[in-house]
Amino acid sequence: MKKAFDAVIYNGQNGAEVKERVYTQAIKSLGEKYPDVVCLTADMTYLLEVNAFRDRFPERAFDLGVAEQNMIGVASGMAQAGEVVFAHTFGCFITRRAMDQIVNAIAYANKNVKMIGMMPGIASDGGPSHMAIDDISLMRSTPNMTILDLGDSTETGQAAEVAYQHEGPVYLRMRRGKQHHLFDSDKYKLEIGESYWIREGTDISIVTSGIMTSRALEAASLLEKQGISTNILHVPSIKPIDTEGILEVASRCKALITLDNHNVIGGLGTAVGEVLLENNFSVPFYKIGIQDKFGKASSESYLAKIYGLEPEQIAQTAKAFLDGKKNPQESVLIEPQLIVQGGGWQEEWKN
Amino acid sequence: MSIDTLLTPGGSLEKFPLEDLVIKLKKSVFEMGRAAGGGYIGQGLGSAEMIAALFFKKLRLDPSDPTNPDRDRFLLSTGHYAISIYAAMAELGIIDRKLLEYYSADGSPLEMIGSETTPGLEIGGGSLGQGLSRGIGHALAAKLRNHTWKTYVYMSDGEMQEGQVWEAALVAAHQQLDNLVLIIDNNGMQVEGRINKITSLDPLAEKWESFGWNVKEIDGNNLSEVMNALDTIPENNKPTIIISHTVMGNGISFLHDREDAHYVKWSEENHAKALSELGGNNNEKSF
Repeated sequence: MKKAFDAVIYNGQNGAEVKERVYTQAIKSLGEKYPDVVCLTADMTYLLEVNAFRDRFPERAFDLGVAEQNMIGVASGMAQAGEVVFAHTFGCFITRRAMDQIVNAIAYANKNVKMIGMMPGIASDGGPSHMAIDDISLMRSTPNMTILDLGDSTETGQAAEVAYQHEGPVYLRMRRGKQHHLFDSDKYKLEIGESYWIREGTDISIVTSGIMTSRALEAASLLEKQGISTNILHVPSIKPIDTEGILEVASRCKALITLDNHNVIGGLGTAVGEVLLENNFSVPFYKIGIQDKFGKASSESYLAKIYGLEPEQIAQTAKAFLDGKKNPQESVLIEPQLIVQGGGWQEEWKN
Repeated sequence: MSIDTLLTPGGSLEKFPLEDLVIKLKKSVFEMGRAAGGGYIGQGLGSAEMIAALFFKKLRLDPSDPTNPDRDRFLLSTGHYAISIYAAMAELGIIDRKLLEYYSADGSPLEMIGSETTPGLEIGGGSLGQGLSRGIGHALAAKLRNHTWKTYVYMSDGEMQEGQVWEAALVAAHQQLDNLVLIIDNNGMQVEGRINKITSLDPLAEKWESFGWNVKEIDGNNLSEVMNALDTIPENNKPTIIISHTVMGNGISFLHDREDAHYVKWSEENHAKALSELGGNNNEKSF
């Protein structure tokens, strides 16, 4: 665990600064640095932010069409031939759609393939077919796989290099398009196996990753107004996971809560729960996340509300749990009674 | 108004000529785009003739009882085309026309990518390349139990890049499923642009013939060719594929055959221009 208090530049109030299409530059720069980087896409290049790499290195960029299982096999072959392969599509398609190919051609074969899964969980507004709410679970239970769930523009900017430097399969789970800027890139260094202590408190410890960390900071700010102080441990490296860091924050609170932009079954919360049990560490423990149900094709804010993942709902849930309530997340869910106009894919859709 | 009220089946098939129904269907597509600020409008335009022919003339479908066990099964494999199906269902009264205003809105039953949670849709089609397999399941079950209904699967051409399609193609022919009709909206486009620049499907008709299918190739934006193809499905122990050559954004100048129109934003200006170019009887508002 790294103490990273001074690297945090967002205090959880008034919305974080936003940066756009950070991965676009990161993967292009990686290509400039290392001639063995190749990029694969499955019918989406601009949308997966690989367009700058493709334009700079057209001979090293391959759009293989709407065929994810084939793409994974191709990635394995190119890696076996010595390339460092970055394969891109939405998180749902690159994991569960091609699961058997990943297990055999990437993981068991232990090939140097980096799989980039975009639009994780509620960051996808295309409905259950397009929502990765099980990708962490699938990748965690796959031997040889490393998983990074990226939470801000700084992490996204560093992740391609981190993945490149790691020999072997890596799953990068990240938002596309607009990303929150939470960490100072001069002070924050993304590392596999590391966790980051980003807020200090005594009442509740929140263990979080990915796009939930921004929400955790906002929830902590709301809790503070109620006199509840919050530890936050940011855990981008879901596998391998930093056992010591989790035990450390678990020992500094009255209750431990995990945040998942994922099904609560098999996500970060499950991984943290395993750490606690396997180390015989007892603490009141609750997993906030998608409570084992499918969603709808709707905007991120709508999905967050129906799942109970808005910062206000997280704060309410945390307080309810601290007060000893059973199933505290259930009480904060907002039933979809009203249709809000203007949902759906509003992002500009161009090639 | 609550969603439940809007989902109540009702109404009846209006006895318009098919040409007029195509126009009405397209107008509904525009209205959905207008309500949502965007949508799969190019696909809606390209597929309008085939969807109108199927839903208003060809499918065995009782609009007042859309889940009747004896209905023909229409499986939308490419869920993105749901915009056309919503328009057709509104015309038939299977869903309330007012529901179209909620196309792709947060929490709406009319999701941008069709799913079986929407009344009237048999399957979810967001993850591509799976519809034909599910159609084979229906067709096999119909044969097993001597049901007379047919199964129609509607798929896009880009979707055929998914390998599962070809697994299904083998099985449908081997099982001699002449109660199964596959319709390809062959507009030559996928998200990234023209299919031939990404992963070509050519020669398409020859591929399916060699897989043991009856193959029909038609101009899918020509109503008489569409109706003729649907009226002459052979019963020769082979499944039939209709390769329906269409134009994405057909007939609307600023969308017609555009490579970057997989998903389009829809402004009031676009809306007005599209309506003015549509032709037909424009006096009647869709809703």
